[in-house]
Amino acid sequence: MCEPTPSGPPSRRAGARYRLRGPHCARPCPSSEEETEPLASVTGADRPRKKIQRKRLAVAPYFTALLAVLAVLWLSALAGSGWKFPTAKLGLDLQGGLSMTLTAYQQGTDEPPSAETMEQARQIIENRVNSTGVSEPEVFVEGSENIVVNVAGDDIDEEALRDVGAPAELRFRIVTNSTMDTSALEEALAEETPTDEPTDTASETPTEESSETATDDASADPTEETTTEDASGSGQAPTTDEDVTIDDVWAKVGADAAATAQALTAAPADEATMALLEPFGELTPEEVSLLPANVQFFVPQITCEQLDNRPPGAVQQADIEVVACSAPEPYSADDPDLTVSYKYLLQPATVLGSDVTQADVGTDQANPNMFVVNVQFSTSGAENWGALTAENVGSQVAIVLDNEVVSAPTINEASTNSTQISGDFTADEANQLADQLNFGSLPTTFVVETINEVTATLGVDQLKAGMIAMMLGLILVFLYSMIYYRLMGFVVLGSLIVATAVLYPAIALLGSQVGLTLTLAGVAGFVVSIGITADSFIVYFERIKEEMAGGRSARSAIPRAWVRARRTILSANAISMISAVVLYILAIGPVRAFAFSLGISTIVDVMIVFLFTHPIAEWLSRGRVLNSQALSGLHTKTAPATGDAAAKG
Amino acid sequence: MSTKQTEKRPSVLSQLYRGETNFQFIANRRKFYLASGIVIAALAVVMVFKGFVLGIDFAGGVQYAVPAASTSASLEDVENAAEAAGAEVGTGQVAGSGDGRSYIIRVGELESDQSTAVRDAMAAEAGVGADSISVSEVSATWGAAVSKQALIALIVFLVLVSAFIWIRYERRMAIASLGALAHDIVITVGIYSLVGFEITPSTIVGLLTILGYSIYDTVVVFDKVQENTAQLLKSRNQTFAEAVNDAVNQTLMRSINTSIIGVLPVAALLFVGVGMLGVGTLKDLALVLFVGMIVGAYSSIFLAAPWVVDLAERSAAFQRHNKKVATARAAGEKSEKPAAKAADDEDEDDDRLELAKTDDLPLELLEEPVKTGSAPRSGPSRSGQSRPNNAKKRKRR
Repeated sequence: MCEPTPSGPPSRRAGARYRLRGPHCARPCPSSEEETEPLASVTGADRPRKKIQRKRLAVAPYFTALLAVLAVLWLSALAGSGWKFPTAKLGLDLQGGLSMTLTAYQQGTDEPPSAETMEQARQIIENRVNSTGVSEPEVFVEGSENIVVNVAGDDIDEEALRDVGAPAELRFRIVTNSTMDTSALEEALAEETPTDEPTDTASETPTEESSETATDDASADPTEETTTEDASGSGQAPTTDEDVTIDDVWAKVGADAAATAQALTAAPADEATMALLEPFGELTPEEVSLLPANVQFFVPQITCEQLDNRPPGAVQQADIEVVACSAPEPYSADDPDLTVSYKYLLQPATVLGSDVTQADVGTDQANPNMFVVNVQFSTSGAENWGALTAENVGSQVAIVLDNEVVSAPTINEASTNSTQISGDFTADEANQLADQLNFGSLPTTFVVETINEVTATLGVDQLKAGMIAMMLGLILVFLYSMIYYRLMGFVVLGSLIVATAVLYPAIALLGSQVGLTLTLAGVAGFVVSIGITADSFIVYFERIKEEMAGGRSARSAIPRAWVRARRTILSANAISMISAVVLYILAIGPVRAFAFSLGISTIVDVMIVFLFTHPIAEWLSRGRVLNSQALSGLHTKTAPATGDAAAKG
Repeated sequence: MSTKQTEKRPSVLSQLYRGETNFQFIANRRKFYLASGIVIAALAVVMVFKGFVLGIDFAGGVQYAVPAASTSASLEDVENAAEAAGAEVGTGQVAGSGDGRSYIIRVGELESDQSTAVRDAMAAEAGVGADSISVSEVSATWGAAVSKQALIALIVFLVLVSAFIWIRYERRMAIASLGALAHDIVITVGIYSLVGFEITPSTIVGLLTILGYSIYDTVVVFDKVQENTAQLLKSRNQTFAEAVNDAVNQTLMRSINTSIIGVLPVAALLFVGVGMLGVGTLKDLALVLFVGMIVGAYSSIFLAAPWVVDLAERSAAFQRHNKKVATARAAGEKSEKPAAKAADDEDEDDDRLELAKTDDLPLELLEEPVKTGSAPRSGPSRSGQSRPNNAKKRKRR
């Protein structure tokens, strides 16, 4: 891209310049004298020389191009920042703030969610983050299954943010059975055993499905039919990474307990069965989620705590029966620490969160102190809702959000396109439910993978550390090249400065235009790339040295060296580029910033070598400096003493 | 000038500087293989028996950074406060110094309300506001997720880079550079296990970067090897091994410089990362790069190039060529003076220029007044005449 066509006025001018300086240059280099002589004898009388001279590299276009690039970058960076001095957009780890990574939790499959799903989820999460009242949150998709939420500043409600990834997969399910879970109460009371087995609440309509196989609740020997029927229930189990299967769970609780549990159609009352079912209390939430719904429901040892902690989305699948608990509520008014939950056995859902078009909070007309949530349904949702309510007047319909029953109002009358959810909502609860309904359901569920909260002080420290590392790196590299290449060390320094002058506005521009943030990892990438950038110069200079060792003057060695060094530099940079691009595309986490820095530095490096280092070396070679042994640091044909000194340095 | 210099052999450093060293990298390659083999075997044993220290990202947990510049509470006090609040303290350390001093405390996974409680407890103990404590919370699966992606990136990278080297250079070099890469990774990882450095996702990323760097380093050497051997089969002066050895010697200074220049900024990063911040991305990245770059420099000189020779010498073409060289030498009776050899070497060097793959630059641009008489440089005889002149002169000093 940067090879000029060796024709046109600039080169002719260059030719003229050469004639003026040519003799001038040959003289001051003592080392070149002896070899120019024999060589000249071969070619000395050649007049075609002039023609060649005209083709010499014109450096002006390179510098012009470089200046143009710089001007464009700085101007656009200035424009981007509103004509103030452009500043890079700092990442949260450099300015303080909170960064959270949410990972999509796909049920039953290892396939990452589709890009549209992720984008949809991103928008919903962004809405939710905004609703927590933080300023300028940044929500973006990273990789194929992560969503990163970045919030700057110190004043952040971490708890609220944590919930933005909650699935809020709303389901309306008819309650087929419900029971009180007193385990929390028992725990609180610790010493005394609960008065009696769970008491049934309001609607005690037995489930049609499970009642079909109704056998005696005390029957210890199961019938095979029950197991087959339960197959549908186990389908709800999300396959977790641990690869626990339903069989593992049965094995864990023991065959007898498994058989007994599957045969249950009501809560067991006798001591023997209770004792037999004891192992169910030890199951992890993941294992519980694998159990068929009727086992989850009827085994009293399975507590609401276990059920609530099932993996996200455990009850999400709409077309199966599930079990869910309500939020804990005080058992008696006088002691708020004693809580009970209700465990619900729920029918497949026919109305989903996506059927909801709008929800808002209002107050009950009959009772102004009661908050209600008014829900509007979409056309198709209204149909489903109408059918559901018409068939189940008098039943409870549970509104299931995540793994929890938010509310289980009784259907008073059939309704179609809109309905009113009333319950014991506080204003906050009602608002929350309405919000979640409004912001829609996340198309997939998310779990919080990382939360990084950096205080502003630490951020400043880290930024300072990064800058110091960068300066220190530059100084070290410069000192080394000064000692080793002497005058050419300044070319290295110059190139690095130009590289910085190109990179800075580029980063600022990317920051203001596409939201690229400079993170600590990014700074680290730039520091590391100082070495890689400087290395291009090393390759070039070593090559020049080699050529000069072959007996050439700097003037003739430099273009020759360039041809060869160029391909090495391009190959080596291609490798750097491949690694940066691969890392950037495939990796997740802070790595990407690092890879980005490496990549952009590599591009700038190639540009600098072509537009600055090479032309400047070319230009310098015409003067006397590079041909002076003491200054250039490129000569190897010096007296041993000098060589030693240089090498030792 | 020439007479004076023949008497005194320049020092090694000086030779290095001039690219005139003649270390027998290739001839002694079995020793290097053996050395690397022993090191790798030893490190493998260490890795198996000692295992690795995995960071918070792999185990899951919460890390707190409590500013401790102006507190009288000791690290232990703060740890105890955290324990009392219900956290299971894993490790605690003091990071940074002066104003940047802080206690880094890592605890096991916590519920979110617990996490807040622990934070408040520590803030009270250290006498700072809860807001000034930085918290970083990671689930147990995050490290694995990052590693998995890194592994995918690694595979893609290896495939692409092998393809690149194969196309750009040759198959043997692709294989040899992959070998050198594997060597670098195993040794770096082994050192991590040996020293007990903590492995974090940043470490893994750094490791991936080393791959890039290691290959980069190797490519610089291969580039020269390719130059030196492009015309080899047409001449009978040198075996492939000798040509490669020359190439390695000629690029030795370049390799050393490349490594030093690469390591210097990383050292700066490491210094700042450890000295000022104590923990985190900077330190993790810098440490793995520091170790990996040094190993990488070794492998590109001592292993990658020799492997290319080994691979090449298995091919019939090069075996025949070796024989030819041997016969030529035997027939030539004249003792093979290094000077003469080097001269021939130079000779080839020149012939090859116009054949090198990317030499597409208009030759005129080279501005070679000396050469112009001999016009198109494709005339090997002409350039042959002029070049040995220089080369011999140089070598005979």
